[in-house]
Amino acid sequence: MPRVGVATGVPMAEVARPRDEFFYLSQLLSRRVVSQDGERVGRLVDIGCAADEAFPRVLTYYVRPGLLAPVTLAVPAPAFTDVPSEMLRLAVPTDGLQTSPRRLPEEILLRKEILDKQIVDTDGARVVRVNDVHMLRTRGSEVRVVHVDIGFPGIVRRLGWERPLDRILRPVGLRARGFAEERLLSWRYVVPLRSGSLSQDLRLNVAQHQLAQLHPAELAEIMEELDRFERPAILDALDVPKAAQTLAELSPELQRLLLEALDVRRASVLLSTMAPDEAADVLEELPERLRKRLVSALPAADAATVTDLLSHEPDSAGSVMNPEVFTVAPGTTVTQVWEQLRTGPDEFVRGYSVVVVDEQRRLRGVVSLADLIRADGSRPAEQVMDTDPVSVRPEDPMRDVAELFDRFNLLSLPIVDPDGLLRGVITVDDVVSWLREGEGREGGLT
Amino acid sequence: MRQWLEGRWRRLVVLGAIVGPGIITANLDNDAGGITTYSLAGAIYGYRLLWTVIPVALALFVVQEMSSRLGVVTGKGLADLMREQFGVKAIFYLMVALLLTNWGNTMAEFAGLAAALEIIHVPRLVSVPIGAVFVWWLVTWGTYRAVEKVFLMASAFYVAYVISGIMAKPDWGNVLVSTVTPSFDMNLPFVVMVVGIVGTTIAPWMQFYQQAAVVEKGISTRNLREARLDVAIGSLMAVLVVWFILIACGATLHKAGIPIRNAADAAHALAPLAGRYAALLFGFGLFNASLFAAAILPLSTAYSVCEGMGWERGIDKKLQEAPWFYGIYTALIALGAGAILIPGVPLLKVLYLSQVANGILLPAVLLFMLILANRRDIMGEHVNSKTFNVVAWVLVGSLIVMTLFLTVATLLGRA
Repeated sequence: MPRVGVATGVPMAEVARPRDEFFYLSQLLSRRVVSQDGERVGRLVDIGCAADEAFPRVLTYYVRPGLLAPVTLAVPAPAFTDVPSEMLRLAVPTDGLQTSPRRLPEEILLRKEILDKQIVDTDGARVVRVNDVHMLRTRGSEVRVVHVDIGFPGIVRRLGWERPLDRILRPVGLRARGFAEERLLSWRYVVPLRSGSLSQDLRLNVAQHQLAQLHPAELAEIMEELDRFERPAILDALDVPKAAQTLAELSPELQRLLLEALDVRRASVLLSTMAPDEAADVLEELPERLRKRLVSALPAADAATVTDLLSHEPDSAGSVMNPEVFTVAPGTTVTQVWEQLRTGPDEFVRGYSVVVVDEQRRLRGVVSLADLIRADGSRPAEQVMDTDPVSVRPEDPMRDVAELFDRFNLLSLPIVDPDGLLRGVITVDDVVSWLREGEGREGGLT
Repeated sequence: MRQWLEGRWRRLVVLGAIVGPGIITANLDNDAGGITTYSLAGAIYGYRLLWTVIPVALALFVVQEMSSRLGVVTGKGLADLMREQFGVKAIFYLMVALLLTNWGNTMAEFAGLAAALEIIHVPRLVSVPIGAVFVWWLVTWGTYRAVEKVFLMASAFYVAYVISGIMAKPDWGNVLVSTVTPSFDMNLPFVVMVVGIVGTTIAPWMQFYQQAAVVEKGISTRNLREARLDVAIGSLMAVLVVWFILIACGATLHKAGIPIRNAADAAHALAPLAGRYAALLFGFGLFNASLFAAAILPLSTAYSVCEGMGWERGIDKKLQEAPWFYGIYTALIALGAGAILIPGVPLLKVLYLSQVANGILLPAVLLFMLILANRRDIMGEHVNSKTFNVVAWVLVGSLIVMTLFLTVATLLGRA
C-alpha cells in the first residue's frame, strides 16, 4: 500500500463509490453557512469527527454566528447538501440548530487538533506537519477524513496561490499542480498528538494500535522530534516492554528529561523491565540525585544488580556486561540444553553461547550455539564445551575487550572475577554499541 | 546557616545548567551591524546617547523574557507555535520576511568580518571565504552542545570592548551623569540614530533563536526563575557592551572630531587616541562579534523557516533527510558572503530591502508574541502579569512606531 498517492487517483475501497467527491478542509473552513430555509447562520469554524473510526466520519459542524460571537452552533452531520461550493447549505432549518454544543467524547476537532499541527506518520516513522486534511463525501452523503496533506502543493493551495499560478502558467501549457508531487498520507497511519480533550482510554487505544507497528529505535527517533509534553504521551501509549525498549534507545539527554517528568513508580517499572546492563547505561548518564531516587525505587534484587554494574569504572568490561547469563551445569546433556533454549526466554539465545559453571558458579567452559547444533544430543555439556575460553576481568578496559572480539572473531565472552567466579557476559552487540558511543564522543568538539 | 548555604549552592548549580540561551542571544545582538551603529553614535554624539542604554536594556529584557517563557511553558519553538495558532498564511509571509531580513544581516556580518581583518591587512578575498567555510563547518560538524560552549566563550570576548572603553580614559563623572540624563534633539539624523540603536539591539531573529535554544535545553517551568535571571544577565551584559562602545568612541573620536563611516574606521581611528592595543581590541571585538553572528544567524533562520513550514530540520539530520534545512542554511551563508566578494552586487539595495522586511517583521513578531503570552489556554498560570503587560505594550508599541519610522526613512532614502 503506497503511502503517498495522487489526490484523485486513490479512491479508498472501503468507502468510495463511483460518484464520490474529494475536497480539502481548507476549502470548507470560513465558508458562509446558510440553513435549509436560506437564512444566514454564520461561518464554519471547525469540524468534529469520530476519532475511533478507521476513516473518521464527520459528526458535527461548528458554526460561529458572528465574528465576535462567543456561541458556536453545532450541526449534527449529515447536514451539508453541497460541500465544495461557495456557500454551504445545511440540511436542517434554522430552528433545528443547537446552541452551545457539548463536544462528544470520541470527537476529534480537525482544525483545532489536526490542521497545522504535527502528527506521527507511523508508515514513514517520522513526525510531519499537516498542511491540509483531505476529505471524501460518499454518494450516501457521509463525509469522512481519508488523508492528511503533507506536501508542498498543500501549502500553495492554502496560501491561495494555486489559481493565480495556473493563470500565469496556462499560456505555456503548464499547471501549478504539476510542479511538486501531491503528498497525501492515509489516515490509517496518522497518530494525532494534540487530541487533548479526547477521553484518555480512547486516545491510547487508537494510538497504541498504530504505534505498536514501529520499532523502538524508530519510536525513539520520533520522540526526539517532539516537545516535552508530547513525548510522555507517546510513551504512555506503548505497552511496558516496548516503552522500556524505546526509553533505552533514546539519547541520554532525552532519557534524563523523560525520567524527570515521569512519576517514580512508572519510571522504576520501565527500568526494571530493561536488561540490567541497559538500565545501568540509562542510570549512569543521569544526574546523581535523580539516579539515587530511581535506584531506591527499584525492586531490591534489580537495585542490587544495577548498583553493582554502576560501581564499575566507566568504559570497563564490568560496566558494559550483562550480569544475567544463561548457565548450565557440566553434567547437563546437549538435549537438555536444547530443550531449555527452545522453551526459555529470548535472552537465553541472545548470548550466542551457553556458559558452563559448577555449583560455586565458577567458569568451567563455554559452548557456542553452533557447536550445540552439531553436537550429539546424549553427550554432557562438559564434553562439547571449549574448556579454555577467552575471558576478561570486570575491571579490564573495553578497548582491550573490543580488540579480543576482533582478534578471535568472538560473538560473546564471559567476565570472570579473580576467584574464577562468573560475573556476566559481553556480547558482540554490546561492543558495537560501545564503539558507536565512543565515535560520538570523539566526533564532537568537546 | 548550613542549610541556607546548601540551598544557595543548589540554586547556583541549577542556574549553571540553565544559563546560556539568554546570555548567548543577548550578546549575539551586538553583531557587526550593532557595533557599527554604536560606534557611529559615539563618534557623532559623544556621551549624549548614553542614556539610551537604560530603556534599551528594559525593552531587551521584556521581549526576550517573553520568548524565553513561551519556550519554557509550551516546549515549542516560536515558529512552531505561530504556525499552530495563526495558520500557514501568517507564518509563510513572516518566514519570507525573515529570510530577506537575515540575508541582509548575514551580509552585514561578513562585511564586519572582512573589515575587522582588513585592520590587520588580511584582504577580504581571503578572510570572507575562509570565514564562511569555517562557520559552515563548525555548525554542520559540531554537536549543539559543543557549539553552544564555543559561543558562550565567544560571549566572554566581548570584554574586549569593556577594556578598550577603559583604555580610552573617559571622564567617568561626565559619563555617569550622561547615562542618567536623557537628551534629545528634534532633528532627523538624531532621531534616526536613536531608533537605529534600539533597532539593532532588538531584532526578530533573536526571539526565534532564544526560544529554540530554551526548548532545546528542555528547561521546565520549575526553573522559570533561573531562566528569567539568565535573560536579565544577558540583557545587562549586552547593554554594558553598548555602553562601553559609546564611551570608547565618545571619549576619543567625538572629542577629537574625527569622522568615521563604520566600525573598522573606528578601530583605525582609535589607535593614535587610545593606543594601539585599544584599537586592536576594538577590531578583535568586531571580528568575534561578526563571526559569532555569522554562525548563528543562518542556522537560526533555516531552523525557524523549516519549523514553521513543517520541513525536517536540525544539524543531526543528514543532507538527504533535511534538504530544505541545509539548502536555506547554505544559501544564506553563500549569498551573504558572496554578495560582499562579487563586485557589482548592489549591497545598499539589499540592505535597504532587508531593513524594510525587518520593519514589517518585527512589529508582527512582537504582536504575535504578546498575543501568545496572554493566552491562558497556551500559557496557563504563566500568562503575562498585569504590570508586565502594561510595560510590554508600551515598549512594544514604541518599538513598532520606531521600526515603522526607520522603515519609512529607509524607503525615503534618508537613513
